[in-house]
Amino acid sequence: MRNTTAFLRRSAAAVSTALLLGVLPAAADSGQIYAPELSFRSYTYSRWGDPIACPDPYTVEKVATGVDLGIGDLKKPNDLFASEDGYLYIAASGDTAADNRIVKLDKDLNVLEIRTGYLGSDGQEVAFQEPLGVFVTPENDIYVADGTSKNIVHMDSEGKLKRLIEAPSHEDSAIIDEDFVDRYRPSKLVVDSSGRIHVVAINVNEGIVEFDPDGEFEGFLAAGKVNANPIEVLWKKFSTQAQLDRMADFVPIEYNNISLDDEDFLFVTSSAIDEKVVIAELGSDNGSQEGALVRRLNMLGEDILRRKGFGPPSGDQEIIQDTDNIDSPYIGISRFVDVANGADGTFTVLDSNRCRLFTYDSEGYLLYAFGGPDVTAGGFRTPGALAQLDDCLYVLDSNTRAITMFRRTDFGNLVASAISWQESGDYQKSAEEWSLVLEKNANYDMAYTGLGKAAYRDGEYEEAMELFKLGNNVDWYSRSYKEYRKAVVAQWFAPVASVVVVLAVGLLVVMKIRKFRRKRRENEGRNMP
Amino acid sequence: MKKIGKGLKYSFTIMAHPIRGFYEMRFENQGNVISCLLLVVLLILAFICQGQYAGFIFNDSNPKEFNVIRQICNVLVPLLLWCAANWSITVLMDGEGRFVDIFMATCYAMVPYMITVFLSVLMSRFMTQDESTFIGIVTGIGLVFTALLLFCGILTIHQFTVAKNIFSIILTVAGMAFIVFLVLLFASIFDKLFSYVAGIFTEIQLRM
Repeated sequence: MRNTTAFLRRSAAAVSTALLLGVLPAAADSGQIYAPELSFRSYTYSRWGDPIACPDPYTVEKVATGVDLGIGDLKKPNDLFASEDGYLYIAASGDTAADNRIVKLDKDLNVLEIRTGYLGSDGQEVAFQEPLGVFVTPENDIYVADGTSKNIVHMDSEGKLKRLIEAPSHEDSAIIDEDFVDRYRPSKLVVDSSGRIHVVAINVNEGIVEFDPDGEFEGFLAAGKVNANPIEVLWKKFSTQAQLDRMADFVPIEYNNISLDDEDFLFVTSSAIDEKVVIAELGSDNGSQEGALVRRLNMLGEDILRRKGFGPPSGDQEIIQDTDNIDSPYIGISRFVDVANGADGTFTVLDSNRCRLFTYDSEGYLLYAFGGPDVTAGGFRTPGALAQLDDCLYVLDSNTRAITMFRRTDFGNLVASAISWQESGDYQKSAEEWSLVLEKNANYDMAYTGLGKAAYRDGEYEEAMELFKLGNNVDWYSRSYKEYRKAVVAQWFAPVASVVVVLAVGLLVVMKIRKFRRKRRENEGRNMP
Repeated sequence: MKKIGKGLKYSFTIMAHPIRGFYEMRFENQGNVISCLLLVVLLILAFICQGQYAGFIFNDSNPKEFNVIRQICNVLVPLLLWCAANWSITVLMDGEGRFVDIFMATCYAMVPYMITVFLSVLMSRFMTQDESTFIGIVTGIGLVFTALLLFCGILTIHQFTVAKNIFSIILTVAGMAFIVFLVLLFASIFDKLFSYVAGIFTEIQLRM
């Protein structure tokens, strides 16, 4: 196996030259610019934060506006949800009553159902006022976050109302401000397997609004912590009122989207975090996570996302700043607006600033970044929502008002199945897949790490070390080195120790004999006269 | 050759008896400049080794950005800045050390740190991530030892009291910052001047 990887690494340069010289002219002849899996827009990051080109993990299969779908323009597409039984739901709003609707589509974007309201308890249809978010439970109950009416609508699959969850007010709980009802606009929501409802609302920075299974307000989850910096506190003590007014107030996080993973943990994104904090943490391997753009929350609101990768999962690592004077379609850091959970703990985040998608694995390693702004077909302008169904990703663009369907390529499929074997513990199978991945991308650190893990499982620690070194995985290299060192020490301890003992004993004996002889000589000398 | 060997060996005398060692270096002609220059080269070598040969677990220097000239500057620039600033300050404070003494004292003071850097490179090839504290401790000891030696050295060669020595070191650091500031200022002024002259030159050239 070591020979294969070494060969692959050596041939990497040759392959890329061949691609540049050979494939491109051939592809140009056939009227296509790039080979299907090489748009040169997909990349990963190296250990030192340099982007490394990568075959496309997904390709655009379809781009469809509301008109293309035959349901008229989606005026304001707000949310996209993929249900467990494999359907897509779009929440869209607009000025007229007909624009406020929930559209149900199948995997291939065929419209199945359109709902503009729900059937009230008296059998009357009540129209939605502003559907900002939609969630469908495994039992096919539909939850809609209706922004303007401030209600969460819970209805069955037929559209019959089950209950309305109204805005919590100051009377419900003392922790709610009096002006809360005025500013509260529920926008995104998930319902976990125990029936608790987690709502992200616009203009609410207290955290995620939590309702118990009965729809009663329970509290706020994961409000931003105020970490007072001692120097800052001291500085503020000596500042005048005018200076204090000019200082930036600490603003707690406002979340903008929420998703539920397989294990009932919440994934939330936020785009309202200070750019400086995020940039400061990009350089460090695992900083204080104050600038975390995506978080995985447990029921206590603690962030339990693993961040082992090269840099935190905060999207792009090179930042183009205002002052750089570079003509670029985007300025500043990645701004995440949605997150979708895939199989085996992987998750994909949507960056509305740079119009890209980033997929991370369960340990926080970047698997690939792809997509891009609107320069070629399939690019985005202002992507707003993201959903994943098996091997397809769907992105809703609020500017072009179109839905883009991505399908995973061979490369993406290989990576996914390698990870899936790895998660299920079959390292042999995953190693086979990872070597196929390497044939497509010899610069893929994750694949070397995957092969290394397989070698580690087999007890081939020396080979594992080599592979982890290629994959730049310090953590696992250290682990396999520890085992390797243990084996070497065990192998050499007995011979080295016995040689040392023999030498020591020999030396002792020689010294004793010399001493004895000297003593005898002295005695003889004394006896002589 | 013998002289260099003697000068290098003298660094161990200084480590064992700093006050006496530095005193004899200043007033009794012990140690020599050539061996000190060799120590500087060794220190540069230590940092290069750290970047190039430290074990994979402890080596996060990017081979793409590895640059020997930068490593050399990283040692030489602060060293010369320190010596120049210290000399400028202590001359005004009635210090008895000459520039050569300051340079030699600084170089001899660097020896413990240099040794521990080499040692840490060696250790890093046999250690796992959990044992990284040991490397930290070793280089930490070297750094503290070096700081103490530097303090004693400056104190002895100038024949300062402790309080005056602390004051002079603070002033030296400020002086270093001041020199850097002046250099940057001049660099930017000369840059502007050159581009101005070059601008006039092209202007004339275009109008001829």
